[in-house]
Amino acid sequence: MSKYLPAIFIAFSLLFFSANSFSQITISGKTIDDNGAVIPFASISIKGTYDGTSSTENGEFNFTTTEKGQVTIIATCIGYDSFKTKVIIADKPIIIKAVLREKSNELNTVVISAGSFEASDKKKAVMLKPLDIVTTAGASGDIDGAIKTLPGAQNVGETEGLFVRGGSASETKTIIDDMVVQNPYTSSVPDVPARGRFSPFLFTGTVFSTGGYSALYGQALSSTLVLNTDDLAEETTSALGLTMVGVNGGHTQRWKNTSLSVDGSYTNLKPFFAVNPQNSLRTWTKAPESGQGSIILRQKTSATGIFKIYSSFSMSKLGITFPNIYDSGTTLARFSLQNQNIYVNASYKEFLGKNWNFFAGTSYSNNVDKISFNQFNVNSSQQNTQGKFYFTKYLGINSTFKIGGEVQNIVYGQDSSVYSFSANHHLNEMYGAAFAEFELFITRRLAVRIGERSEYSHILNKYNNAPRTSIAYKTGKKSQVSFAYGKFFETPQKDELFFSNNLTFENCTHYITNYQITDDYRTFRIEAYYKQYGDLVRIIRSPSPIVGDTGKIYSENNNGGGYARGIDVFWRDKKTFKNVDYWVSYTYLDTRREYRYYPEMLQPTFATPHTVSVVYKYALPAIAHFIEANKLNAGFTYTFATGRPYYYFYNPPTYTGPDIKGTTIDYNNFSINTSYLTSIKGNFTVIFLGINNILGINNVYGYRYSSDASYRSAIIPQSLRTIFIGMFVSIGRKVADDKK
Amino acid sequence: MKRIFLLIALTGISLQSFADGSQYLNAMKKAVSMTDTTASAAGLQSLSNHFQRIANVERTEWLPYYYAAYCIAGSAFVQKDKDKLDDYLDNAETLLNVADSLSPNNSEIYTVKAMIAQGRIAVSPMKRGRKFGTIANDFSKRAMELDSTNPRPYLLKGTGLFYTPSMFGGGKDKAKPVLEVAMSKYEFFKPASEIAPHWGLDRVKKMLVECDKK
Repeated sequence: MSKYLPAIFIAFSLLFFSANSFSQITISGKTIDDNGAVIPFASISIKGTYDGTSSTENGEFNFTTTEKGQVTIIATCIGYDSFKTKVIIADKPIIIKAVLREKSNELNTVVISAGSFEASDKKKAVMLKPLDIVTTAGASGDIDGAIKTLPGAQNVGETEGLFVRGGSASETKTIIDDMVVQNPYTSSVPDVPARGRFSPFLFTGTVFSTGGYSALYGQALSSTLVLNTDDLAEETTSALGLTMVGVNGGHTQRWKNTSLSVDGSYTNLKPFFAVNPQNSLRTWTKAPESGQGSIILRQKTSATGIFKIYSSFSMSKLGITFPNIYDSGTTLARFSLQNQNIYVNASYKEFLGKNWNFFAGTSYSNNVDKISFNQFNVNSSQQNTQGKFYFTKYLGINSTFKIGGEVQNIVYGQDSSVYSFSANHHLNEMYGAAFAEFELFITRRLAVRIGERSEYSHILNKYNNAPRTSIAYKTGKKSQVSFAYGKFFETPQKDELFFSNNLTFENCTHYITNYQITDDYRTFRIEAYYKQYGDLVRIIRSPSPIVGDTGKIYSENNNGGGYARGIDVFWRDKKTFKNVDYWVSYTYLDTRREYRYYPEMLQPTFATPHTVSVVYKYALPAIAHFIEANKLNAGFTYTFATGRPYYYFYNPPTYTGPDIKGTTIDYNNFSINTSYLTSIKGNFTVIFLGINNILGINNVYGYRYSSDASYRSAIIPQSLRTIFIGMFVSIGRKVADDKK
Repeated sequence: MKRIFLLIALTGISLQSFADGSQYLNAMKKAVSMTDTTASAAGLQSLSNHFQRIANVERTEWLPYYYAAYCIAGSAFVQKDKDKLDDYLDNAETLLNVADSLSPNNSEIYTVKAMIAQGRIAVSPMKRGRKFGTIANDFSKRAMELDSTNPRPYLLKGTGLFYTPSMFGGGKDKAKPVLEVAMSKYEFFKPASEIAPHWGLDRVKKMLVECDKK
């Protein structure tokens, strides 16, 4: 009997099937997208019934139903908006062309990209994540070091800061959680670049804007580096780092809605200098030594609200001697510096309902430098207090309207003395700004950003209006063009304000156009720009000497100006070579300006026509399962830049010869780094090694002249080749390993 | 008169629900049995579509949503195109959230939540391993608390450890004891019904064999 059971079953089901099939209607068709491309494995169903099927790999589908009359056919697929149509089922087969529209996402929606390199976890295009920064050879774990491998930034090695598209370092502002940071770099010695104060691991997102940036920010003629901090820390963990320059440690505690991190570090460059021979003409009388502590608090105030505090305190000391240029190098100049810095940044974000979002932030910084330079003693202190707020209104998909304002109070004091002379300078600046900005996605292909910023400076007693506009149009599935225009203002530098009270804002107008092709693994972009500088401060020397660093009295005006134009090219590829991520940047820059002491339109000393960077990273995956860990990372960075100009100007009474003009030799640097991931007693550990300028190429950044121009000294890196070794241990990093 | 109407109406409803109930059970039985044999990404996607069609009608049953999510989450593990994983997992999460609202504090649902979190890791292990590893672990822990007889959270936890590099506290040695617990729980586990979740035994066995390989 059991033998026949299947047969009986089949017979019955056939009977059942055929009995049913009289009234069955076939519904067939194809699932395609709005470009006509096939959508495989979409789901097709009749609303309110089980009837339906999935489309095949070719997008075709075919099913039968016993439903009659008017029904709704629904086709759905992940990544697409659903398709619905009403049909009347009578006695004829039905054929349906289901056209599904792709959901708006980062790849099929245009982005406003002119002038900005955006990097975040969500956007995959051009990005520098914390790990990317620390694995960039030659960057020494410094944010700026990695940013300099992107096009637009000049290769300036003798001082800190980002020199973007013909702009000086003071034209780039660092912004953390929407608030500008007054002293983003540690205090340093002449001709030795300082590092950034902030660890790349503090930030989830980085936007490096080389121009045309949003109306939310001001006081930067060239560029902004916008850093956004992490939200809640993910887990409770401790970390310990040991490098050639010191130790650091920290602990992070995570509660449900709160996380608190406490970190401390002690740095002493003595061992580092012992391993890396220093410029023989310069002797450290006190190797840089510093202590730093920071506290980071994050509090989720509701499902949508978050409160953040970042605070840090640091102290540092250093001393160095070098040939005194004013004595033609016959005597030693003695330089020493003590620095204290406090920085606090607090912000609050909350969703207000009805598509409104609110941001409020405040920051405070206090920086004190005590410098002694031979017989000169300079004590300077700067306090910056800032408040900012804005509302964001969401207007449908991606579109927003922002409106807000900010105030800043900058109190700066500088007391200098030499022998029995002394000079005191004090500035008290109140700065206020209001801004509004629309970001409108007119279609998925076309987006427009229109912003306006208005600023007031108390010290200048002047207002300005800074309109900003960007347009982006998607020309293909992966390609787009953008245009940006913007006007940017900046209050003159502190030292310029000491001597004059009839100055006005310096300004710069940007015109940018860019074309880019992007997919998840490759990015190509080319950007051309033109910048027009206006009202740059000029300092006119007058021959009667008084106290001051150059021994001259000045008159100042805003009659300077200039231009910068160029082309930036960027290519990043994570796909072509297995386990390899590399990028190539090329920067072409043509710029002239008349500013500060320049007697005429000149190519500034920080600018060079051609810069090329190649960054190559190789990651060797340890385990081929789905959780891959790159056990060994190795990479190199090669940078080439054409020579930079140097000048020495007619400077009576000491120098009355013609202006000296020259160009340094080309710059070449090849740096490597490697890191190895392992575990020590069950704790996740990274060991890293970096060698900067491994080939030991002699680079020259410029020349300094003695006052009668009879002697000059080359500005060169502090050490020819540097080796850096360190390790980092994450203690108690738990991954699915709680004790049962 | 009112009473008669009410009676007729009630009979109508119960008849209706009886008819639907059997249709539901039959459809589910067929589909659930297919989950045991379907392994390809395309197959799992189609199967999830099928469960979603059932779910769209049976809006109060958690199982169709659960299986629809489970199939997509499963397809994420065999999906070659990693760029699309997040879309798939978002979809699975949406479906699972519906299941969760229909049947709160369900150990099986928390197990699939853990599975989705593990799927997220696959998109970018170096960048996400830490975050989603912890999330997956929290969900499987919750699933264990909700039903200590359920072997699947142990399977998930074991899977996580199995694929986590030893330098991050994972590895075969760490995975094996957890998988053995799962194995012992499978011996006593009886699914609540024919369509209740019962998957995972084969995987535990396979992984235990792998654990013993040097």
